[in-house]
Amino acid sequence: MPNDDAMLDWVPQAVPWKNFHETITAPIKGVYNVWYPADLPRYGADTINRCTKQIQRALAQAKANGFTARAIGRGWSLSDVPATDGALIDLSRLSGMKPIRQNQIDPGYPGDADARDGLWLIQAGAYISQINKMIESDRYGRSLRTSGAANGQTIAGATATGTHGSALGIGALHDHIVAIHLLAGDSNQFWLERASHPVLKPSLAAALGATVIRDDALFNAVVMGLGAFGIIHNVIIETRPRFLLEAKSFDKLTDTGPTLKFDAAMRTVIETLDFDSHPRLKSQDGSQPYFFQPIIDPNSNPPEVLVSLMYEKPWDPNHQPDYNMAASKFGPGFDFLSVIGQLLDVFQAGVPLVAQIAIAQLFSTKPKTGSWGELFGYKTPRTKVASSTVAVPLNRALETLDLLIEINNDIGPAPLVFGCRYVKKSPALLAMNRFDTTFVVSIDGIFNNTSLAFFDAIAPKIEQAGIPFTQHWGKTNGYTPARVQNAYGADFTAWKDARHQLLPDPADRALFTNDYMQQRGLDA
Amino acid sequence: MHINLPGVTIMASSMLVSSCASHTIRASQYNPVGQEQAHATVSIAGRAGLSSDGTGYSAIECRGDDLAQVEVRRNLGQGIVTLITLGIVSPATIYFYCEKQEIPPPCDCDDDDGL
Repeated sequence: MPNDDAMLDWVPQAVPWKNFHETITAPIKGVYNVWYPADLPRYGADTINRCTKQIQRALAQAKANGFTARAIGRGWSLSDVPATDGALIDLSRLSGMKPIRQNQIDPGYPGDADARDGLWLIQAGAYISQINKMIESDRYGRSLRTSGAANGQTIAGATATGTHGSALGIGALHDHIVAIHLLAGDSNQFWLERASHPVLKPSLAAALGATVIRDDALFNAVVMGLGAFGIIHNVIIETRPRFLLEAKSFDKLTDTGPTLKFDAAMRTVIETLDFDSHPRLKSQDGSQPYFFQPIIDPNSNPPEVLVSLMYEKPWDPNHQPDYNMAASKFGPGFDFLSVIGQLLDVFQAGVPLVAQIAIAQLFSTKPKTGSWGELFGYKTPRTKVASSTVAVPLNRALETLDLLIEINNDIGPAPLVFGCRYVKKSPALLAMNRFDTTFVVSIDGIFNNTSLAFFDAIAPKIEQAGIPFTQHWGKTNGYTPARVQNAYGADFTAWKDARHQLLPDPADRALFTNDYMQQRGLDA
Repeated sequence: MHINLPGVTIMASSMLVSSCASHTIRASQYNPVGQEQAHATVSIAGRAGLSSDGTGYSAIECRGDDLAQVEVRRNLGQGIVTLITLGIVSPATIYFYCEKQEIPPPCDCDDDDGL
């Protein structure tokens, strides 16, 4: 084996580390950069083993220095879930991808012929944008089923924190994963699959030197692991045949009619997903949307709504996806929204107007057709935004929205909008999408004190109303140990048990523990 | 309307601090990798004079890979130095991301070691 020491470098950090969106800072000691081998070998067992060795070398060094360690990709999360006062291990350069061959699949794999054609082995640092581009190519003709609104995250980071979309009847991004290669400390490595959903013959795990574990509870713990089980180095995902989406957005009842409102008709659609009940959202040809997202502006009176609908269409062989970012034009700089946010803390009366302008800028009503990777690309490359969520069972959706509007009336106006999304239940133990149809309100907008006060008020308000709820781990959340216990019950206990089973050495558990985990009781 | 004077002052100050200058260019496919890198630089008497980087800084942090994004920022202090020296001494900080390295695509072969 070549001398790969140069694949790992240590960069001490003199100033606090910031996440990608600059919403959090952490006093880290430094970053271990893990580089793909310089001789650029194809991604396979040998390459994985070379990378594993360097990641575990970084873990051993961190441990010897008394540092805690967290894996980092793009640092896309808006919460401090990746933060540490020790070392970050940057895996964003490790982005190997390859399809699984038929003869590698376990005979007990429950997927049909199409599913067997769509299994991909992906290295932790592959960006969602890279995965889209690779699998949507003519050579492979596959697609993700869902993803978040943007695609700059790594597969490991996005899935470990619960990134989701709003594809109807479909789960979150982490629900694509069916096998996990976990580095549980500086010497152990596991290949995890569900016993109820075996995927690969043992040859791959043997080639990696990983211990195979087929166990539903352990897999369901690690797949939403929040970085607490060690470092996820590779995953296998299931994909679907590629398709096109016809995207339409509406903000008016007719093309020239009045603005869509959060009125009785809209409330019915939001709660029942009965699109035929609404004159504007009814499909002309009777088809049901693949994706649905109403965005409510709580600062208009009555609240106005902008609706995004996407319909599945067959792939057009003449369609050439364009993944380039749009050319820039005169517009706000990076700190513009932060300064506007401070301004709005002082002049709250300006919030409704700014919200209207922001919505008009951010949401185009121009129809567009494209692949999943085209439509869910980078919106803006980097901006400081405020973002939180609350997720509830669908039958509590309207009650929840009314409470959020009430919070805004009490402490606002806050420069935020409510994006309503729908996510199918996940078997992952700590998944935010744990209700049969999980109704997620993504509360996004300008980062300022009023927005943060709004986020603080969400959990107590929903709790007081007796609505079961969860929150996005990767966004600003109000989780405490008691709230995590209330939200996840026995699954929370099972998650902690799984951590003890896979990391039996207290020193290894301590290695992957951070303040975020301690504040939420995840370290027990 | 009640005006919060301390708030206005803080806000105005923060605008000054954060808005001195920023110029960014990025690759159209924007595939940045790793954490943001920072490099302080001083230009004396423009292109005809001296620069702390000579004719240009080599981003050795990228190990030979391309740059994905370069942002030149000038904060309030750097702006004041530029102002009082009538632009002769012009400090700035260059922030950049390296471009993610292309990894060889999968092959249609059975040669890869158990995979």
